[in-house]
Amino acid sequence: MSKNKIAARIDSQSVEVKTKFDAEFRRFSLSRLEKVKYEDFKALIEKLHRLHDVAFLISYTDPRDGDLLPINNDDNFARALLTARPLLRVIIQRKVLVSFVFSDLNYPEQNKTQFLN
Amino acid sequence: MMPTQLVGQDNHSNDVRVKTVYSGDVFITYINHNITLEEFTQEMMAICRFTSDQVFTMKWVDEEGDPCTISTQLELDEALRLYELNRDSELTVHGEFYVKKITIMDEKTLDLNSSRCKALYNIRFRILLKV
Repeated sequence: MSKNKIAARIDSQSVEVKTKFDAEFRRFSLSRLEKVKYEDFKALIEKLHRLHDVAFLISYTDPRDGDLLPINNDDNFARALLTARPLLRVIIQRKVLVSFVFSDLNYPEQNKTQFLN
Repeated sequence: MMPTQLVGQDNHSNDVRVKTVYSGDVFITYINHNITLEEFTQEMMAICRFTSDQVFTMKWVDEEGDPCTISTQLELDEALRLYELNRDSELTVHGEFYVKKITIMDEKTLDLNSSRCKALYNIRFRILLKV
């Protein structure tokens, strides 16, 4: 891609979003001017990837160091949008339910179920 | 049959050139960059002669080599927007009849100037016709 084209992508008022859930990728743009809220973004993800009956987590890859950071409120969503240059890579994962069974001499056997992530 | 002019020439400057490869045949069509999802779906169904009860998925391959699903207007607009940004490329639609899936391929031509692009396109077109 030529330098002019790369510059055109970064200067634009849009954030390019690329989402991945399992093996499915989807791409779309969001306007920086519209100030999309986290709840709206989550609803959009749910609609696109058909996750209406699935508990899921939204994360993004920080382009500077490759860390996987969460998007779960307006603040970290806004920060994620700022890191997009111009692409925001979003990873969607299923919430995993894990059951623990505790057994101890002092305590009776307990079942504990919680989300792993 | 030789291919017609590439995208960027005056008579089709507002249109997106779509190459559809399906069931051994190659079709060249032009679509408007403002096309609606429904119109685009109808176009693909007409080209591949799908009946209205046949379920299929449309994907395009982005500059990173990942197939991106199109099922909303938002995603179709993004595919066409990125196509226009990478105007040296063609937008190619592949049909896979055995799984009833259409893949829209965006050919990568990152460093090529337009004359080399034309030469490669001619070669690809001839190879596809032989299949």
